[in-house]
Amino acid sequence: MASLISCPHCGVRPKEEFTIRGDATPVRPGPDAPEEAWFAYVYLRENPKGRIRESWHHTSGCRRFLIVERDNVTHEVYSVVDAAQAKEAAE
Amino acid sequence: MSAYRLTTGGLVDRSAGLAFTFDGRPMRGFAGDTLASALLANNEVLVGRSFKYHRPRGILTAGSAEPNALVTIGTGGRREPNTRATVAELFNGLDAISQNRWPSLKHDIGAVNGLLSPFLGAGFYYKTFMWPAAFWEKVYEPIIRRAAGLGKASMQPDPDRYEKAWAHCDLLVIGAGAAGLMAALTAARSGLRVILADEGFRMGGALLSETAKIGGQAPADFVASVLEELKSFPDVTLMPRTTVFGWYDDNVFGAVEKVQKHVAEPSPDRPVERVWRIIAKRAIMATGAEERPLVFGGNDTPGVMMASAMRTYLNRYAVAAGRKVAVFTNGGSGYATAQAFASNGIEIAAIIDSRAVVPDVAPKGARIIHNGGIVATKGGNRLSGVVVERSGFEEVIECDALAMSGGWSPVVHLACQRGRKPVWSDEHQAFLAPENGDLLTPAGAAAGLSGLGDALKDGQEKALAILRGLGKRPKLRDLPEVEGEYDPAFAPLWYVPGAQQKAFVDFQNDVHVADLGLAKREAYGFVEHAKRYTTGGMATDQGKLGNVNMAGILAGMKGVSPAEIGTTTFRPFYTPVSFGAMAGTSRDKESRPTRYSPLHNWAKKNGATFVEAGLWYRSAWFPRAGEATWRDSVDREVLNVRANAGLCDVSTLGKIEIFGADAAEFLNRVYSNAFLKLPVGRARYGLMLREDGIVFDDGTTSRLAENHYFMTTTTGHAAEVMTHLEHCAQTLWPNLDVRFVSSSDQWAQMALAGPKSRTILQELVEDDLSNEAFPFLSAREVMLKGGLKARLFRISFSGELAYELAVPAGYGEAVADALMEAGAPHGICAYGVEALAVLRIEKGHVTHNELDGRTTPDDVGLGKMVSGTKPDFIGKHLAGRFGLTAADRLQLVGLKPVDVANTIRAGSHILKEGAKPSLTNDQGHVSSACYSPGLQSPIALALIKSGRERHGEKVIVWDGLRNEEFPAVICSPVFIDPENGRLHQ
Amino acid sequence: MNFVLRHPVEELLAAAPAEPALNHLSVPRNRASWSVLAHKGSEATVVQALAAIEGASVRFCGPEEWLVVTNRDGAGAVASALAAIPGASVVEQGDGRTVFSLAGPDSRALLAKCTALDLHPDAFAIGRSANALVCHVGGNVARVARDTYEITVMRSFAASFFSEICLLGREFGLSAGFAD
Repeated sequence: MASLISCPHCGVRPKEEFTIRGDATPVRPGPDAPEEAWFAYVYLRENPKGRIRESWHHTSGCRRFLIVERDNVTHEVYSVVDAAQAKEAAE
Repeated sequence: MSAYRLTTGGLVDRSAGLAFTFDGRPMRGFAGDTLASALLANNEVLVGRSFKYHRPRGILTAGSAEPNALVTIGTGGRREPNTRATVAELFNGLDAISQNRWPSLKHDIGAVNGLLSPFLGAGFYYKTFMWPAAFWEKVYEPIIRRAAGLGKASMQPDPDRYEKAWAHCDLLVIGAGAAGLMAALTAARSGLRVILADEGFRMGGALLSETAKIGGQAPADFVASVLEELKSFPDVTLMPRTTVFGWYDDNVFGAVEKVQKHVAEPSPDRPVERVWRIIAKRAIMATGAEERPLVFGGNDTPGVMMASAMRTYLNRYAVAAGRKVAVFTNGGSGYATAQAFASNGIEIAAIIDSRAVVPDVAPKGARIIHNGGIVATKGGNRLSGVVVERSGFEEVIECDALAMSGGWSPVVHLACQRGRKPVWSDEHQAFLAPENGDLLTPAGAAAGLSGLGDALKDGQEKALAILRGLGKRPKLRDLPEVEGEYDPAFAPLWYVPGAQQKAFVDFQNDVHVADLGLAKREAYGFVEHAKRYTTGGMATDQGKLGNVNMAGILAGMKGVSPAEIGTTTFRPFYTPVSFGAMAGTSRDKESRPTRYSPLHNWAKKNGATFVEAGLWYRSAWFPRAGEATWRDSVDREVLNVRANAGLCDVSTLGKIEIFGADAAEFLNRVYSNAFLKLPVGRARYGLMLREDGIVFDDGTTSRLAENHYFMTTTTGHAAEVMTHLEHCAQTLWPNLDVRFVSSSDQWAQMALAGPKSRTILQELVEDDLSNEAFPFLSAREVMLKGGLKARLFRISFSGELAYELAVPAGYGEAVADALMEAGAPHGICAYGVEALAVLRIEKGHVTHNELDGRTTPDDVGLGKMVSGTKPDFIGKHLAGRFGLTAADRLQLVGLKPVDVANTIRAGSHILKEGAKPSLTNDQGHVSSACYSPGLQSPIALALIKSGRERHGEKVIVWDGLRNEEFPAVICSPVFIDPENGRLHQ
Repeated sequence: MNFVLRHPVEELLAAAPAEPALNHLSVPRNRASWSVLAHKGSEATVVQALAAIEGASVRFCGPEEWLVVTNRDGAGAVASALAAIPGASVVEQGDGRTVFSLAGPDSRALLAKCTALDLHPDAFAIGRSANALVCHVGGNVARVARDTYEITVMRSFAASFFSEICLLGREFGLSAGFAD
């Protein structure tokens, strides 16, 4: 796990200021999506080795949800972006 | 045959004498001594007993790798076991005792373990004490623990303080020897923010042990001049007594500073130890090299010491380890030691060199035995001679000290803590640091270089490379000249054949060559297995001295290169760090921050007994004179609320202000019930689900203005709900116009409940509070008499006519006081969370006892709060799954014992009459229980299979913990006022 | 009715000496503050409007969120100015946030024991502020002068914060007292 996260809003901060909220890849299905899609969204997770996208909440800082792209083997952090901005950029 | 202090020389302050004790005997040393150097100066050669065989052991090193000289320092709560005497700074009044011996250090009964050594070989834990199985816990382990152990921890609380701190720098230099000093100086001169950390109490590292001239100065003077210059830079921090113990992700280093471990009575104003987390852009590891012991028969007899350690004691502390010193070496260090003794007029018994060809660097007249080896040593508690074998001939050489040198191993521990293994170098005959990019660069001896001049040069060059990497222009100065340094080159020698006594590889764990042979024969030859099988490389020194020899010997046994054997895994910590230091200020009551309600002092004045609720202190009940138990107080408070009125602190509820054109839509999506049409000025009870359809939290939300809502959450889930809303707003629906912020701490919130609450409240509030003007579920800003703005909510948890009044927190105590005063004629009382719990159980209201992360809204009777018409809300889509709607789910019911003398306890299970307790027969469990003073009976809420259809059924309440069971009857969970008449009065 | 204001560290400070030492933690009782939230699309105008407000400090909390701090006597004017900012929502926090002012030559060394923020003047200049963990609680740190910092924490944590910073400050002879 990273010791430091470079928050796009607050700068470099220690991991103690953050809470990891899990896999950031699942996308909430639309209201009419079938039950299987909801089941997958709520319960099914990949467990990849290497590069992952995680939700980190800057609990003791700006209180923003961040998408941290990092390597769970080498612990290298590739990028940290605001979740809302990431979603808007993707849409 | 004795160790003694020279009359002159050394870096100790002879004008500052220090008194200390060892095993109760008074001794004296000087400021600048370590405990080890002072013990040696007092001719204390035997300092401890070994772990397994209780063999007599002496001081082996002069630094942090020490495996033998482990002592217990201090008394009472300050007693610290397993302290290395070689790094313990001497202070006046120091009390040290030896360890692992009984009844005394010199006469140790446990030494018979040595006679049992055939049973205590490698793997003995796994083999010898296998049967009978029950014997392990009761017989074998306690005996082994007593016989084979290190020091004992104090059982008293530690009276001292500890701290943690952060530091930031461009360059962290670890180790203030030749390379480290030069690296720090080079970087500082070019304007970097530099931290120079060194574990010693005097900076200088190995320089302090040498006699070469640097720039014409004695090494200690050179060190002083560099430190002086470093201190002149505002962005340079010198950290002596600071061990960098760990290298973590993102170039964060852990270090522990011994702030006051060198004083008898630490000042309470400062910590004794401080853990630093150092965030460094770059770091240089100038940690030096460790001299390797030679593995030969009898190599653990007190009086055998590392050659470099003997030089340190001689040159730095002016202590001679003996009067007639033999040297056993495979390289230059042994000769340097011989030279140092000779130049102090001390007799050299012989220099035994394992090499066939030896350089001509011995002191004049010293006898050199090349191609020789030691196969045994003489003397028990103290060395008296060595048995030398050369070309098949044995000779006994008398001596009272033996310096040994088996070559050098760079100290690469830190560089290997993040997954990369050290790399074997045939050229260096040592493991070198792995390639770690430019974040952590080894320099000097730690990089495998030998010699002071090379170390100075390397320190400068590594710093220059870092400066260039950081885009700084380096300022270059000439390096000082080094004169008179020795050549430490050596030829490898892993162990000396023909040992006539045990030849130890790991001194601390009593692992000798035969143990490694056994491990290999029994298929534990892989280095990680060998470590566990033999315990080599474990305990406080973590194999700093022994591990490389262990790899070399295993390699020899297998006929491969040490490169193929490799090393075990390096992990923090480099040297032991106390739990106190790691806890810092977070201990005892301060282990977590404490939260205080703005009404805390009001509760205190009213005599509250407090209870911890998460981080909060909440008032539990308010005892009065004559009340014998807490139940007396709680019963009184409950009856008084139902008859008159009561005031309860509910400030700990989470409070969130929500704004925006889409705020209503947002609430409609996070609550399972409808929120779009909540009118301004009204409050609504809301239920939040998790996405899997299970209840998450409940609370009320009020609409204070068109686009302004005020949400309250439960105390326990306040932070979680806030985070959940942030998740929804930021990652699910960032395009909604909704903004919110916590105002939990802004408001002192008090519940005023009971039939007389309106009358009492009206005395403080300007606005009309009549039932018509302010009906149930009203929520508005009101004006208190005197002009204070407040928020008033007509909501009830108790089932009575009730209000929640929120005032700015600073005025909370004053307003609560005023309410108590206004209510006094009406019989108001303060009530705590225990009475609150009774009131809500009587009314059948749920809390997190029922909303336990497994229940659906329907389970707890709130099925109507799940909207069937909203297109989407959190939890909608999985709430209808088969498992969550099954007919036999646990449902909320009430429970009353048949005999009111039976107390129902939460956690008890429910059985059908006549059924045996079993998982299959389990009908559910009690979630909340209390005594209802109104009903004069114990009552409970329970979750029971298909419970709503079973009102009136007699069941058994079974408490397996107390082995109790008794009959009870299932009933409605609403015990009082099911028509809600009191709410609306 | 006249209600008396109570400060969250009232009891802890009652016995403290009034005479400030070289390093001093001053506790103003009369601070007023507001959370200001910028709505979507209004961030730039809110930033501009906040910069124009006189007699108040603007502390950065996170994207589209600030804490505006002033004294209670000037609070009315600041409150009206804030209420007039288009695209902003304002929440009173004067009672919910407790401000501490730390001044003295060792203030940075003391704060190194409280927070992971790099307070080197090159990294955290006068006027900068940030939300961060301070003495194990969430707070806001602002540099108001070379050796003066204002730390704002939630009221319920104020006593805990105060006890810890005073303990850590003993090394530097830290004194503490109400400012007004």
